[in-house]
Amino acid sequence: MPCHLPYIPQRLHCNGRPDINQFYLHEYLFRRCLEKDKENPFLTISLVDVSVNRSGPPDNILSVPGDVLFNTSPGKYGDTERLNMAVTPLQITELTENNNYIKRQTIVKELKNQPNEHTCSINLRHKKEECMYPHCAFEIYYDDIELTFENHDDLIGRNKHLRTWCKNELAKMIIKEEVRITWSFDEPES
Amino acid sequence: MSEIIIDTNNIKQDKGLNKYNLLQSQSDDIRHQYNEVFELVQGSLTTVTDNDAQSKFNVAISILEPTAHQTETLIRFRDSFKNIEAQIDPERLRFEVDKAADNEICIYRKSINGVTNIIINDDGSIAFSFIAYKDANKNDVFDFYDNCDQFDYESLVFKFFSL
Repeated sequence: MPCHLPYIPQRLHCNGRPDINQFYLHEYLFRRCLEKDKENPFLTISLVDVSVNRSGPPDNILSVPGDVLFNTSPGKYGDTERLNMAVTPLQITELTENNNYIKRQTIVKELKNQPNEHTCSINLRHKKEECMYPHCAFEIYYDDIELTFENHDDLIGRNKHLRTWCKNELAKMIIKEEVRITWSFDEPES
Repeated sequence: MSEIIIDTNNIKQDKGLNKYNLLQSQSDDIRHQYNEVFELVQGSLTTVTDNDAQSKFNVAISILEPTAHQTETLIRFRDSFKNIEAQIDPERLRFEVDKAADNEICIYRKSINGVTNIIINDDGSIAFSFIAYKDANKNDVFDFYDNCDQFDYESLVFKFFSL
């Protein structure tokens, strides 16, 4: 179904274009947030619906920072055409071999004298929308199940260690304005 | 009973749980409710400074709706912060307490090097995080503590102010 929001520029309409299933070093992701939330992003991060817009390949610019402020969900955010929020640019500075972003963390804990292992992963995906072709999302998986508003509490909500780690990773991206798999100054977890 | 009047013009403004911000920025009804809270919270109207550690923790316990585990942990941190308050430069003792999206209580501060968080989950487990700014040349830190029965709160508070 084509985009019917009159204020969204044609260049952002999907118009049948496919997702681009890779990312590019130095590409930007634009994240919408309130200015005050940049100070300590941990306070407002949720592990479901972590959306950004991508700037696109170097020879095919898909979006500019202000595009992420267009209101593509008028029912959810009211009638305004643009949301009165700030934009944080996150630059991609490290990717996997196949030019994607996937970061995993596994934690093993003893439970009734048995090792109990759980894994959380953060995957960046291009997820085009009819009115916002450059739309992407950080999808969070807990033991290979994608988190949703419905299952969040029963899955990662029960594992505070992994939940906190995951939110901390997303906060790190916002504070450093960078998307990396390994951080230069990561200290081994004690 | 006469109304309490507080001159907020000459008081430094911080974000978060500064009781004067709360008293100043809301409607009369809300301000009245905050006044009642502060009257109930021991120490909050009798301390010399508005931003002392004890007041901040007492306000947090009163208005952030912590779980029983979080309340117990906040009280332990309050005592540790109070002990350290006497030993550390007040300018370095700036911090805020707030609630995060998944009901974690965060004690946090910003320094020239980055952002430090002590995260108290609703089950009482604690995480310590330091995220350095890109150009700060400092290590990031992430530690998680499941069992806080024998936990050294004071050491963690010193670490909180040292980064």
